[in-house]
Amino acid sequence: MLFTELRFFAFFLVALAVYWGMRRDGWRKTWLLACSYVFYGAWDPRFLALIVASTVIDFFAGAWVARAATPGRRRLGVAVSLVANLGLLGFFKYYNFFVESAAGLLEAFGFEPSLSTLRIILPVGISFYTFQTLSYTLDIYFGSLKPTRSLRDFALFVAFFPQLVAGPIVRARDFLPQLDSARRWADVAVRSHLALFVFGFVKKACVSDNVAILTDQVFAYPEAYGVLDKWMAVGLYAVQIYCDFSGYTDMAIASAGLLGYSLTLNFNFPFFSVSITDFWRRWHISMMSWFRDYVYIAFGGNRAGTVRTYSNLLLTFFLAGLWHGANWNFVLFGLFNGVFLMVERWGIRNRGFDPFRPRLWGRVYMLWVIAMSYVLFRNPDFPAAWTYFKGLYWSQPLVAAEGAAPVDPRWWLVVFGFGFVHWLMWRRFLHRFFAGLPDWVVAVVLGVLTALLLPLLPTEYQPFIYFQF
Amino acid sequence: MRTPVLLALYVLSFLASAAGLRALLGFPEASGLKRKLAHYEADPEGFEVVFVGSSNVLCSVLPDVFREELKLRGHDVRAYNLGVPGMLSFETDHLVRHVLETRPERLRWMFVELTEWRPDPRMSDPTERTVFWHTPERTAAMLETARSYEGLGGRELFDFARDHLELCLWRLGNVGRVQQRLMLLLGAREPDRWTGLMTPAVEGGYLALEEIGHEGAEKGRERFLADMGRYQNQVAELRRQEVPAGPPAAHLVPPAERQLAFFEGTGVEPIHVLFATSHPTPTLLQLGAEEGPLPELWAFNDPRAHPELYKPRSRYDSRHLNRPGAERLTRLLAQRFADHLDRAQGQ
Repeated sequence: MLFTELRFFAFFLVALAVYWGMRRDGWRKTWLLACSYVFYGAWDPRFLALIVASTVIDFFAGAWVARAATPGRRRLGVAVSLVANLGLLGFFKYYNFFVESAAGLLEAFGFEPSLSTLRIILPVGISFYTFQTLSYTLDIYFGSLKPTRSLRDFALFVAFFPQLVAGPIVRARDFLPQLDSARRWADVAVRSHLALFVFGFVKKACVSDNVAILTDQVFAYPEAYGVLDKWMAVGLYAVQIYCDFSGYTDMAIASAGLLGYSLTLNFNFPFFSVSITDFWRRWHISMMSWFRDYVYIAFGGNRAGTVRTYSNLLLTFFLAGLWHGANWNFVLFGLFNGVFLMVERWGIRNRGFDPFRPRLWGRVYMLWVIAMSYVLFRNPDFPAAWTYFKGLYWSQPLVAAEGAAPVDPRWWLVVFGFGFVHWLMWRRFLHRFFAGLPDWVVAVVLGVLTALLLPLLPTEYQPFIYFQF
Repeated sequence: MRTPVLLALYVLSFLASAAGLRALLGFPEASGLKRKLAHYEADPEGFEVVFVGSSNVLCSVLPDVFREELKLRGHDVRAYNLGVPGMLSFETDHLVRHVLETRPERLRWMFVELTEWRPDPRMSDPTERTVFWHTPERTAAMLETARSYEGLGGRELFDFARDHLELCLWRLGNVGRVQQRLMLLLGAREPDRWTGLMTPAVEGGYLALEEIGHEGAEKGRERFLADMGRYQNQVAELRRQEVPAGPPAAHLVPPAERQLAFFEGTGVEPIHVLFATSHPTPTLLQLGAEEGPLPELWAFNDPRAHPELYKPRSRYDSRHLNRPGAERLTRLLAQRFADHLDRAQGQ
């Protein structure tokens, strides 16, 4: 069930109406949990067992860690959580990847391995909810969280449907306290949440899904396109993936907000970053902060010397890349960004080089690095990415090959139009404009805008890019 | 201001804007329908006869030949072929309704291709064209037909209802109407081949498949030529076709009556036609029998009565006629129509 599907609207309206119609907060939470399981089961009811298992394991692991009298017993509780969660994730997401990689390695050394892969379906959202449940047990272990006594509350934290399948990755310490106090309709910022939902919907359905039609064509047959076309496709892919993922996040935050809960910020105008370090503080914030807290800092961060700091950085980005998918391209995507982060850190510390000054150059540099990393991210494997990469600089004519249709240059308008609207949002011009209008004018304007934007929707639903992760 | 009032304002402004936009956008370009309709409606003289339906109409009726044949019988009528490929039963309903609502003064007879009103998976294809004709009225009719259609289980019926209600809601918001044009404009989508091939101003809207070089149609012809035995079997089956005794199937009567109701008070006479296709249509023939609701059902899909239409030399493929075949069928249609006019004048 996608946020852009009509059945989601029907589902959400029923969920919302019944939720606010209930008087007791306990009933509301039970209702939300039931809705969340229905929402998740709509993809494949078989995988409900996984999310329930993950919930039960971490609920009891958290309680065990909190009650454990000795450090050894505490570590045992965390180990159970880590093995169970990463075991599930590893099996469903990485089993075939590891087997194929191991077989490839053995073949390279002259062996003839007889390893077999399995036909495994990746449960939607497993990377997201696994990280949430892990963070709960780890936070208790690190002493920054007390365990909840309510299995229902914990289950709702894990399965809360607005953010279940593609984040933001919510921390237990941010969400569980919200479940302790009753939500009130009067506290809900209806207008801003509805506007946020509409805005997210437009980003996903009107922009990303349409741009995907072109980027899919160019990335599928890059040889048929000229250099400028390929650069345009990379720019459009940046627009596509941002609108896809941040659009989803907007709708998730808005849906949760209408139910009275707040979710963490996931994007903060990343394309206005002035360095790669800055970019990763603004892009998929909830994931990067998870890796920062539970990998980078847990492994010593920058407190254990220069070599450890750089190796921790690289490890963090290696894992962040791998988190995206069972594919070496994602690993390279992570390492590529990690290397630039290392260079930036080294430059600032040792050479006084500050990519934050001048800001314009910082932004150009950041956009170039991100564009190159998207070439890795978007292509199915390294040879395809390398072919595309070469085509951006050499071995391709400037225009499309003879017989191939060049990309219409008017697509650049989409790239620059997106940049302009993004800038308006960043400078909060649109917020200020709408904030100054009376409620009834906003309602009418939103109605007209919806009518003008719906005809721009493709007639087939496109899944969110991050659902595959 | 209270939330319900604001929501009501939002919904009202959305509905009003969407309705305005819908009127502005008009018919979709799909398969040349918009172009043909525009030509038909802009004709300064107008037409007495219009043919509505799928590629069976498009490739079977030559309006110029129709007029010429009728002139020999002392009748002077101008006709136009509004057939477009892929027209399904409920879409035909929509076009019939539109033509009657916007009908020029001269229009007196409408020949409507009879195809079965039944749940067809192609009706739920989420295309601009399908979204367009999913009016609340058409959707309700489809759901009613599906309900009385034998062979549709509970789950299938639920899925059918969900899919079509969704398309109906999409129509309300004009979903996809601008997107498809925009993608075409920006070169991200291939233009619809039929639209480019359609020549609304030539030969009264008729199109000969063998003269246009349509890739899909040519593949169909290759299959037809390669497996003539299959075609002969289909024709043999058609020869055995009889009108079954008893009343028509329950799911067919309400839509037929509904379509006939469109004509009431318009002064336009409906004539339903079964074209010379190769699949049997016993349940449809019942609609024209004594107990059936259709007053005029002219069947040309009987190889016993019209053997010439089923000879390979008259055919482009198993479903469509070539130009000589279309000429023969048009003359047969015109002669029957002339008889019909003579009878009416005699009365």
